[in-house]
Amino acid sequence: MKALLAIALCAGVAHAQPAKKTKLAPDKFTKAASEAFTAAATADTNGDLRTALGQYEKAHAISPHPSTIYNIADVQRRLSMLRQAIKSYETYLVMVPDAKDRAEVETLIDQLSKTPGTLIIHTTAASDRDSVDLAAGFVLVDGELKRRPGPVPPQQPRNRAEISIQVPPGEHVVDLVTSLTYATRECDVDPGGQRFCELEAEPRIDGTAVVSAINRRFDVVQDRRGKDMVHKRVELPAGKHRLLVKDRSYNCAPLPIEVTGGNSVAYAFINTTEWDGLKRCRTLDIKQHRLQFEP
Amino acid sequence: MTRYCRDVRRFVCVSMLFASVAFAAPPTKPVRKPAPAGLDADTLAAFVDAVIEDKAGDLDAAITRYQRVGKAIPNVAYNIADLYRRMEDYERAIEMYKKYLELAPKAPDRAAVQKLIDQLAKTPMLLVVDGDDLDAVVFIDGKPAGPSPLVTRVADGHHVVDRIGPGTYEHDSLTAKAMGYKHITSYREQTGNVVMSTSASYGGSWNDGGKTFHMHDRFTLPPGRVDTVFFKPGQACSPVSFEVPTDGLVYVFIESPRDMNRDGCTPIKVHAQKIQFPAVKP
Repeated sequence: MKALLAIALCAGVAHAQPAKKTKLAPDKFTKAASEAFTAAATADTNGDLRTALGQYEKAHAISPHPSTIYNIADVQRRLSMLRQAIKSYETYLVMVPDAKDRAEVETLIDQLSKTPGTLIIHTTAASDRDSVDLAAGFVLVDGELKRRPGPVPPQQPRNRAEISIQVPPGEHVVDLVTSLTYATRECDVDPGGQRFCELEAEPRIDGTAVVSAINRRFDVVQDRRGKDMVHKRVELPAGKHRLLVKDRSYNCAPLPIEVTGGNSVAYAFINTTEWDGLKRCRTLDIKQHRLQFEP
Repeated sequence: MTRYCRDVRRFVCVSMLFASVAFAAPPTKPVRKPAPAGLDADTLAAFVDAVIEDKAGDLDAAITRYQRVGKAIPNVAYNIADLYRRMEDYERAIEMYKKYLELAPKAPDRAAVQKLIDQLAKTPMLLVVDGDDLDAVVFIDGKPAGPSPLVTRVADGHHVVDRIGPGTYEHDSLTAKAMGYKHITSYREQTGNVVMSTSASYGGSWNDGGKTFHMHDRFTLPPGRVDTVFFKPGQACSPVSFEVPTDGLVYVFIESPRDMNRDGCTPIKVHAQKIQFPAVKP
């Protein structure tokens, strides 16, 4: 927490006020902000972070000050409200362009922004025909193989099968491929946060290949007149294929994929980190796996 | 390139390696300036949101947020310029960098910003050549430029682009200007074992020795040596000779001044290159 006396807050705010006409008003606001700031600091010292946050936010709403927003960020960080903390630290940097601790705060923002979150993958109730068998499937997140088929014991307190996976904050594509079907879903998670990601699928989707992508702006077809196969499970004959990839209206290099048949599924994932307005096929990162099921 | 080189003949690949030397592209890293002092709470919040959107990669949203802050603030103009630069929209980037200099005439980074403006203004035209078929190759001004899809920058001036696939052919010409952009995409299914193209402003057909020749087109001739003239006797100073292969196709590019001489012959150079795709449709 920024070491700051309430009196310093008063002085800082008073310094920024215009003279004469509004002379009384700043005193009123400064006094109220100072009281809230002091109450927040006391609550923080006593370990009551919720009250501290509320009082700091009150002080900031009455009379914004860089030290107050910094302390808000600090309390939010300690309360694991990381997304809010990042915004508050950014606000601090915007309010104090020449802050002496800019590099330190920027490093902190970077660290917080990368704090992994948790996706809790589950399916619908057994009464739903489209519920999926989590234990029977390969789980992939953004094309990375996170889990092979195996038992998924019920988790408390919800007493249902859940798979928890730590991921970087942001949007993710979760794919579940079983020997019988294929489920996919986009789920986003905040820094340090938790997010439920519910999967469901038609009970039977046949196919020897699955093509997934980071978003729906990609088309993948087998030939010029083929149907789009992104986020689908499709039947491709055994052998090597080169699929046509289109990024919006721009053609990309072909996607080579090898289908071995039998009890395996060829899986490919298309990712990009480039802005989706570039007037060309963006630089693609392709991940591939051969998902082998027991006979 | 490796895969491509396995698929087509080596001499074409070697040429393409030389032809694919890229122009120096402008920097792509973000450079953000902080907010000025004295912003009210709402404006401050909009500035923070802009920074957060920018860091999250939503560059459009970041610009919208900055515009709410107000383009008349030098650092906002700079940050919008920086976003346009990373969006490869150099004309708008330059406009906003100039706005920044206009709003902050004594900016300490004036020289650096002016240098960046000059650099962006010289960025050669971006050329994107693609199509929805596999194994196509792209030629620019008759020289191998690379496999399709091709993303390259081309120097100012007139250029001829040919994209040849196993069963397709696309021809286009363009006049490149700095910061320009052109997307050539191929949908035209065409077969045949000869493709003829030229830098001259001629796009017709001619008959010679019982054969018909089509400029900027793909057509079929019997395998063997071909000797003809460039559309009419006396027009070019030298004949057009090439070998039609028994497999694959020949790409014949006639290098010539754009406007051919009306009085006397025009000097030409004929470049014939054999192309063999994994599966050429005859």
